[in-house]
Amino acid sequence: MCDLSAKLVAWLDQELPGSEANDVARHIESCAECKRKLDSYRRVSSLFKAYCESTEEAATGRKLPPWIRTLSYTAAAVAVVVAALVLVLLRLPVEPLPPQAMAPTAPSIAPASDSNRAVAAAASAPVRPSLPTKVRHLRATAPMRYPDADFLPAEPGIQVAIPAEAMFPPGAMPAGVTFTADFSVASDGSVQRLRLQPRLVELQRRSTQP
Amino acid sequence: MSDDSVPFALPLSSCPAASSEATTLYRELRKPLLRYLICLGLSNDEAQDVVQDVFLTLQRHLASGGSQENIRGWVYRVAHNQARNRQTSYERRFAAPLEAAIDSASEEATPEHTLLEKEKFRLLEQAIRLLRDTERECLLLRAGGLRYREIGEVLGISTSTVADTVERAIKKLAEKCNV
Repeated sequence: MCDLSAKLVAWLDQELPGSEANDVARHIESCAECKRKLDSYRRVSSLFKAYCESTEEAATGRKLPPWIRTLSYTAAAVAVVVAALVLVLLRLPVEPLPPQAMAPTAPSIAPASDSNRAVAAAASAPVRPSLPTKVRHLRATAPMRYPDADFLPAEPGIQVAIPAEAMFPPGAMPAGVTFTADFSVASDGSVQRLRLQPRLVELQRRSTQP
Repeated sequence: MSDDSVPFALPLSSCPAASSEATTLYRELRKPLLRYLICLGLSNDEAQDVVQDVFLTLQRHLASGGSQENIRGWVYRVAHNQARNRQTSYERRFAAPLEAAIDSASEEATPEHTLLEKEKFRLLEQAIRLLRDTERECLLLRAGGLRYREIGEVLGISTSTVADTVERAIKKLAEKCNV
């Protein structure tokens, strides 16, 4: 047991006065036992510090708990699946529509100022002829509605219902909650305005079951 | 709230130096102080409350011309005493297993590494539980970067006692954790 071994921690913390610090530094060079102890104290000190950081992270939630991260991965996966679904749907063969539906029946809207463009678009919506055939087909199979006044897509949208169980861990959402993914397809086939909304669709269906 | 925002009003137009000093100290000490309080056993909310109180006290202290010597030690002492006053939280800290801290350890690492790290934390936590309060507090303040002199000021003990206590505590942990 070295005399200087009691000063190793203070030396590590740079708390020894100059002369003593030099003595310890010289001693460590020649004493394998003290060098080993010093390394051990250094390791346990950094482990302690890491433990404190970890405790703080756990308490302040700066590092998200695992289940939330799982949830966000699941949501991302669902978004990818929805996007893939849209692509598949858009590539389905589409029955040709009757010729009169294909023919343009209304003139394109004249350039409108910003203030009345929305009104003009709303007025012309029922007779808008220039929608791509594929989108028209989708609209026929999936009627849609937009409850929010601030969410009025330029093109008709598509809804895909996703059960809450597909996105959330069991018990995280009340029974019967379903999510609806709203999105529109632009004339070039790209998906726009993707939005998820909770719906209580399941509840009604269940209440009618025996 | 961003880490650097100062959530308390600084109505010190008569004493702008004190105001800017308090703001500088807040930016510098808020995070380490929060960590210390949480490691002492306060919840995140309690720790945030204490930090807020401490800096309001500091602001008054500086505005009334209080000493600026060893101001970091002063800030930690006020925080430490406030944490002590919340005795229930204080005792809760090492009374129950702290799985959260262990679980949040190095989650980005490989599974083997994580397992090893968790095991190290588990051993360390067991060893920390066996320390005396003063030993634990010395190590927590030391991990926050405080000098022995400042630690002594926070805990109301002499610098040489701090040196002895830190040394004893580190030796205990090193022995128990086998690192």
